[in-house]
Amino acid sequence: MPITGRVLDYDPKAGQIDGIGVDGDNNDPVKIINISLGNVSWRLVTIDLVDDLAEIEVSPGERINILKDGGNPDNPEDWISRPATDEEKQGFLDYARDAIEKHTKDELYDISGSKRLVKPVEAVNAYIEKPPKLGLRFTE
Amino acid sequence: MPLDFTKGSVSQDFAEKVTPGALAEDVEGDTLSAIATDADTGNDDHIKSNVAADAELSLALKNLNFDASSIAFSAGFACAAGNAGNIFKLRLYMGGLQMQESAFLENQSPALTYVLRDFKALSGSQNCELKAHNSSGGFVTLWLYGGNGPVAAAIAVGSVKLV
Repeated sequence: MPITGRVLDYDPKAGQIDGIGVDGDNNDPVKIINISLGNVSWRLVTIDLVDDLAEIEVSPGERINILKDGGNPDNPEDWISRPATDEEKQGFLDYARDAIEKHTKDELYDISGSKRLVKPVEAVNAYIEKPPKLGLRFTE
Repeated sequence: MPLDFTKGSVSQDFAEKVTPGALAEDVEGDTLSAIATDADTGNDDHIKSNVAADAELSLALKNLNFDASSIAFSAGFACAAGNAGNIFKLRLYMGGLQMQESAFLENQSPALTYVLRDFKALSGSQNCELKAHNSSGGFVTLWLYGGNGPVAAAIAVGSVKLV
């Protein structure tokens, strides 16, 4: 995923631990561009400071929100939630994938309206010299 | 006795063993952030927030000073419901990075408790923050519920450092 925001620093030592190593600006945090991926959750795996991309791990939502037939989307009582089926979960993943893969990176920045990543040269050089390694992971 | 970390699930050819001297507590993780409260009533057990289109609402924030070689863990939680379906998602930020985003929050009563947790190497003064994002094109209400003990939304942060 293309990313936006402002990078303050890249720490190679931190990158060897958490697989990321990037510090962002709290007032303009580093994050994925403003594109809806639909009913999925995701976790940041690593950041590529050369190509301004984030690798994320995506999971389908476990439940689905559905508007009742003839319901008013602004009326909370017209929405119901239930566990998503396997087919629906696959649909969530397909939607997220298509939201990204059907466009070039430039197109995605245009569509999202997100600005390009701001990053100091020193951070990029440090990243190139010693990129992050796979860090600590949760075991589910 | 030194501790031995093998990082992630990398193949043996690329695995690198980190052998620090020891780990010690850096930032204590047993205190929550300030508890979210309603801007109008000051209540912490029944919070109504109108969130603007495509805007983020800060639910809980913790700013701490971490050691230079610190690994921080944060867990943000909220008992929440959107006023309509497929609009709100929760986001976890650590050290100026967006670490996670949830799937859409449900819209139902009773509200559900959502937890986002992650870890990151942090040093110096850093924020860990839980936010809610309204992905719709207009103002939408987000409800947070606590009461009788559980808080509506908060974030806990702790860290260990290599010594």
